[in-house]
Amino acid sequence: PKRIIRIERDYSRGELCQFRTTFPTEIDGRITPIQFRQTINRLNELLAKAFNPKNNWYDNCLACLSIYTSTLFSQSHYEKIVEEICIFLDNENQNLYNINGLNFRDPRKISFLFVSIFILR
Amino acid sequence: MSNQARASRHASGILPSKQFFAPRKPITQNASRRKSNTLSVINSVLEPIAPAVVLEPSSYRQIRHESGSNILSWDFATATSFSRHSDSDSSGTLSTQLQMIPPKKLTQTKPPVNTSPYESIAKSMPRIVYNPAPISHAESKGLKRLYQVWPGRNRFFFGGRIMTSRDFPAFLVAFSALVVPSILFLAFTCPYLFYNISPAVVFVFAYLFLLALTSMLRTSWSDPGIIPRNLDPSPPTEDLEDPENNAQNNPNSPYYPTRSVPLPKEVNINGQPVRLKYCETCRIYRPPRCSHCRQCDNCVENEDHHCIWLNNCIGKRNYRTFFTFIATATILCVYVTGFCLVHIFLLMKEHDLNFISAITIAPVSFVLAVLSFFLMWSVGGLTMYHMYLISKNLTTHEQIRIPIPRRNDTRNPFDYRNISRNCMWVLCRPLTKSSVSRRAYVEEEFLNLGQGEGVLNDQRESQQTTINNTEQNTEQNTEQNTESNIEPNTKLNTNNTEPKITETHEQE
Repeated sequence: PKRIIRIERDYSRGELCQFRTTFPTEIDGRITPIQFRQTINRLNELLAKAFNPKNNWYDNCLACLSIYTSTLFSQSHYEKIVEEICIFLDNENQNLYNINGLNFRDPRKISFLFVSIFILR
Repeated sequence: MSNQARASRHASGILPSKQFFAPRKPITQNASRRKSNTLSVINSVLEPIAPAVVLEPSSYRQIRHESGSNILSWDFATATSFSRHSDSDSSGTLSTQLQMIPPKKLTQTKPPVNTSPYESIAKSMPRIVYNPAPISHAESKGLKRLYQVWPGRNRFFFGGRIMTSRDFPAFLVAFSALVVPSILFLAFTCPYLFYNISPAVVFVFAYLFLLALTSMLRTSWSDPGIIPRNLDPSPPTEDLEDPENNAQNNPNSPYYPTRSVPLPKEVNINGQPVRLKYCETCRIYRPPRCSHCRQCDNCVENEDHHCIWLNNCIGKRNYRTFFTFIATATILCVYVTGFCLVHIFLLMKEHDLNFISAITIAPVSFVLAVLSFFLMWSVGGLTMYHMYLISKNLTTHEQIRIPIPRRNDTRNPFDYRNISRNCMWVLCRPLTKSSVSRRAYVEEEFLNLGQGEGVLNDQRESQQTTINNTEQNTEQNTEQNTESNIEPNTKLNTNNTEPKITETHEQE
């Protein structure tokens, strides 16, 4: 049997995509709250970095001025950070969570509305 | 090994189980700050680790240090994908940290639990891959792509690569309103301007025209930010017939038919409570600023409005290109008006004619000037309106919906109260990847449901935890839903919910 629990978005900083660090009780005993909080904090850091307008304005201006041809050649800053997020979650899965029967799911498929953790019995 | 020895090793910047932490800022820099946490971290992390897993690092870490590669985590099959990892500051200190661990010390740590029960299944758990390999043709036989089964009112072209809405005539009108005058300008007025004023005029015009055209097509033919469906297939509901029983619901009650309406969710945005409504069509709780478009029959993130002229919703993903389009269209209109009039006046000067005779020489220029003068006011007005919305970080829907008497109470929670900051935020948003992977193959079981994560009903437990078990309403709702679930109650939940379930049974 398996279940999926969600980590909901934390909207206290407005539109910026962040996730709540409250520890869900279903995974109590498998990992500690501190590890979980570290994972979510790191994820929030990466998301803040991805959505920060100061990092993205250059890519946007370049795309606009080059009549969107720059999107064909170069990877934007946002895409690089999302790749980093995927690698980070995969790392966490491989190192810490899979061993305890947990698995983070790809957040891009749900457009970062929440983060799902798959729990195996 | 004693706790003290472990703590001292950690404080000096070495952590034997480094592979079990994702690459972060190096611990040496923050050792003093994190010292209080390290003891509990080390104790909690080292316990469930199997000795077999710990031994692995020693053998390859030495190899890695000799080769001096920049690859951070070596023990994964997809090492090539990690070579682009940009966290360079931690990679440098990692190599120094790893160098100091003698392998024999690791074997001495004997954790109490030998192997985790999920060890065997851990290998087969799905991985998060940035660019998954495409499915081969043989495997995909009989499978449909998502765009072929998409439940919304969208039209797809070129095998799902282009998506728009359904009404075409207005789009063709807008398209021709952009293209036809521009081609006429290029054909009739530009040769004169090229030779008599400067070729730069023509090149600038061509550049602006291309920019407007590509912006228009990108806005019209891309995904505005549609949210995948069926993320909340069974929300907590309330009865409409019993206003006093607002907290409970009776989905299984056979005694009297009540209309159960899904409860709205409340979130706190920047200190302001906002209610999130449930969308029956898409079966999701709409995130803030999301709106369900009637013409497209989709929930779109940050929906500004549905543009008939562009035959698409304007949402989070194509707002920037939309604004680029209307801004460049305005500039084009001004440009065309100006240079057509210049053409006519130059003709008047050259040949010493009056206005009417100059027009008879170059009638197209005059027509173009008049046409773009009128277009300029409408498109320019729209541009000004959107500039105003951007400076306040509002969408068209939000701006229209604020009722006038309450305008002082309801402030926009997304407003940064600073015009430049609002502009930066709206215009320099990154272009997120579309959540509607139109060309992805759809598994059979999801054909009827559409897209979205698994349909399991245990989402209610997670709601319980996120509201921190303080609200009675959702707690009771989760029990009601777990009762009616197919899956049995788990060990973790029965501690909290068993007494309450018996209570509600008695009430019924």
